Amino acid sequence: MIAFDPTTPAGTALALLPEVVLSAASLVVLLVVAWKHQGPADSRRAGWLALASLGLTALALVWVAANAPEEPGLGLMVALDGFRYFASALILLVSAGSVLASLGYLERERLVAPEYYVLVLLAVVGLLFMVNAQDLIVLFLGLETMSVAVYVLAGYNRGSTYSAEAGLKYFLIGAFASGFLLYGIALVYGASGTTNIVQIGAQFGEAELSLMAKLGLGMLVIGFGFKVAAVPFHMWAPDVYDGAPTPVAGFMATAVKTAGFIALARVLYTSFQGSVLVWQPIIFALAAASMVLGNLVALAQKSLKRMLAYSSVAHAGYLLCALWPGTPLGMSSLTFYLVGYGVTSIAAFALLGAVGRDGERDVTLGDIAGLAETRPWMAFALSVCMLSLLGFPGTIGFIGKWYILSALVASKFPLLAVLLVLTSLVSAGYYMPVLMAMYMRPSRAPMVFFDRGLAGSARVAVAVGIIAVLALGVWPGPVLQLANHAAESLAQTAGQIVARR
Amino acid sequence: MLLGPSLAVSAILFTIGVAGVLLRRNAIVIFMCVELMLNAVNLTFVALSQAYGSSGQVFVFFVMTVAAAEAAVGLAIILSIYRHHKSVDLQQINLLRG
Amino acid sequence: MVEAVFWFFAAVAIVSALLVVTMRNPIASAFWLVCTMLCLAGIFFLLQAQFIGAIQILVYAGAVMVLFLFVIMLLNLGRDDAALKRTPTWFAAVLLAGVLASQLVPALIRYSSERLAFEYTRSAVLADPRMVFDSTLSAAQATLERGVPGDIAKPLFEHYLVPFELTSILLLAAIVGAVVLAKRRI
Repeated sequence: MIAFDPTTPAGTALALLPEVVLSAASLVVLLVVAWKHQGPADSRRAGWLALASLGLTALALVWVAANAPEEPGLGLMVALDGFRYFASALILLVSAGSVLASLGYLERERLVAPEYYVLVLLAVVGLLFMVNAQDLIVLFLGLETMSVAVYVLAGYNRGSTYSAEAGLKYFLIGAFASGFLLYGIALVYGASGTTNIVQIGAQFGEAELSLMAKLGLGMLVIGFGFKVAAVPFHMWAPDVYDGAPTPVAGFMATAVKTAGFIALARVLYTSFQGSVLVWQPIIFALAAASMVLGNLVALAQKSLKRMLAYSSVAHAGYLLCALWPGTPLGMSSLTFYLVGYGVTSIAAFALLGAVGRDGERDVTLGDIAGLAETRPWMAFALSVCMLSLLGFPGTIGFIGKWYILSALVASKFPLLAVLLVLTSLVSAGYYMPVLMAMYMRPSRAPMVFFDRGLAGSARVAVAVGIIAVLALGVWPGPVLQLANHAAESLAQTAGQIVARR
Repeated sequence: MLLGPSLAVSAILFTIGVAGVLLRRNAIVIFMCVELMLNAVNLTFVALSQAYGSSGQVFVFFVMTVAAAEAAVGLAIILSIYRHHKSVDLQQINLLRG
Repeated sequence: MVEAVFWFFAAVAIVSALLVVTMRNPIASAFWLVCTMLCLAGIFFLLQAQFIGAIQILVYAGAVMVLFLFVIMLLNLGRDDAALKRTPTWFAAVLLAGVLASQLVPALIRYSSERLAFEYTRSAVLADPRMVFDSTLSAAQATLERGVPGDIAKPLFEHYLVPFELTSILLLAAIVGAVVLAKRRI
């Protein structure tokens, strides 16, 4: 055991070991890609190298988690707490899932440009910085690194008009949102004199926020609202998910959303922990609007991909519900729900990528009719995903929703809980037809694509996802404990300065 | 000195940028309006650096890096959409809607 | 005197910003944006941020805007756009911007250094000494000792080293992304 001191430059480098390893690995992959970038074999090699990089990063993360000092010190740029480790591990997991799903997908869609994997790795570096940031500037730069890479990934299929347009839309909205976020950071800096998230919290304390701080908080929430696709800042999400290559859409719905929520939670729970009453009404409005609108509009969608996009808006609403109470219990339910949503969605998007062609824009219920006869395992996996998204007992989605409900009820304000249950019931109206189409309707002969099915690598991602959904659905104990620990350590970080007083 | 007026000018410029993004239909002009928003934020940072020391000016540095990176990628994206539509007018581009 | 110059620059900046939004020709918009940026550089000089002002002219007005103009000329977009129609969206956008401005401007214009200091020190915990740079040196003194760029370089390469390194990854991502998009075929 070598404890390191993150207040020194060398210690900072060690505290950032996962990020450093991943950056170095992405450079290696970039070199390999520059050297060999012709055929599908080179693309596959880049993909496997990317997976190996993510694995190495996970090892570095474990090392940091094991060796980080108990009291890292004040004024650091990066957090060293369980919250960061939990979120980083989740991001690495879902990113590995989307790389696995991409391997066969890109080849089938003839998108053999191995730079794809370099961009994914750079995006993951940005995401890791978003969740480890203890300084708003680091948060902003991490978010921009991720955004720049994902703008390109969304428009990666340049032969497709829709993909190019998805890239443009995500870029314009993303840059617009960054403007709000940055203005929020500037105003918070003006009100507190610092950009360190913990020190801002100490500076604001329990006192009433100054006007400038309130305006800054508002701007920050608008900026984050765009990034996590909460109503009314969601209008880009369906179009971008729709046009982007399906594994990229999966990456955006899981990894990017996770990092957005983790960063938002860190800012609200640390910098604005003393002013819960100021931000609770805003979060309440966003949560209620996202749940109601997301679920209702999802009902009207014909395309499965757009349905999943609106369902991800609705899930942003559920996650905002978990954010609302402002308690460690709420935070714990947020992190747990992110795990559930992440593993389910990665599997769902990977499956969607297997049943269609050309970006799966027009896969409707009719196209998956009778899938249970021809592809029983795929039908089973997709059913599990839908049930988990719905929150059916026995899946991780149920445990997650139940946990959020208990956090809401514990804070003695059941209105959001009622809304959550009602809108979840509504969501059965679009998840169940998927199951019914697969199991009860005859398959439409002749099959459009004879070879539809999962590529070997995507099978691994789906299998791991489904096993996690089912296993954690009946035995959530260990992950729940980790989530609890993460939430507690966030509270600890937030209380650092106050405790020293 | 001039702190309040600088912050107010910055807020006005930011608002004009927001209005421009919402009003205009030309992708390049929308992006210019985003640049205007970022510039407005820079003015806030510089004004605050009078009170808090040079860290505010350091942030301007980072913002400029971000603006340059976004400009490179953004204009490449706009070029690639132009190849498809021979236009950068969002009203003509809109295939995916709502 | 300084105030008069400030208000001159501020007025020109606001008017040019309005012209950026209202001009129908993208090239005209771009030129008015350059004008706004130059005025902002002027304000930066007045606010004792000479280095940032110079960089603003070089990087923003110079490099970034040239990139914009280059793309506009390359794609031959120098024609007039359709006029802004007064549709419901138009009113909604103007209303939204109006609300935003009415919230921000009256709140922010009242700030003076004294009020900022008052709100800053009022809070329960005083700032950690480490977060205010060189509290021993006043700003003017620091500038005298290290020069204008040195005053910025010190925090940039000491306290903000992590974000500084992160910008290198950001730029790498931008380069890879731009090259991927610009390639003829994938």
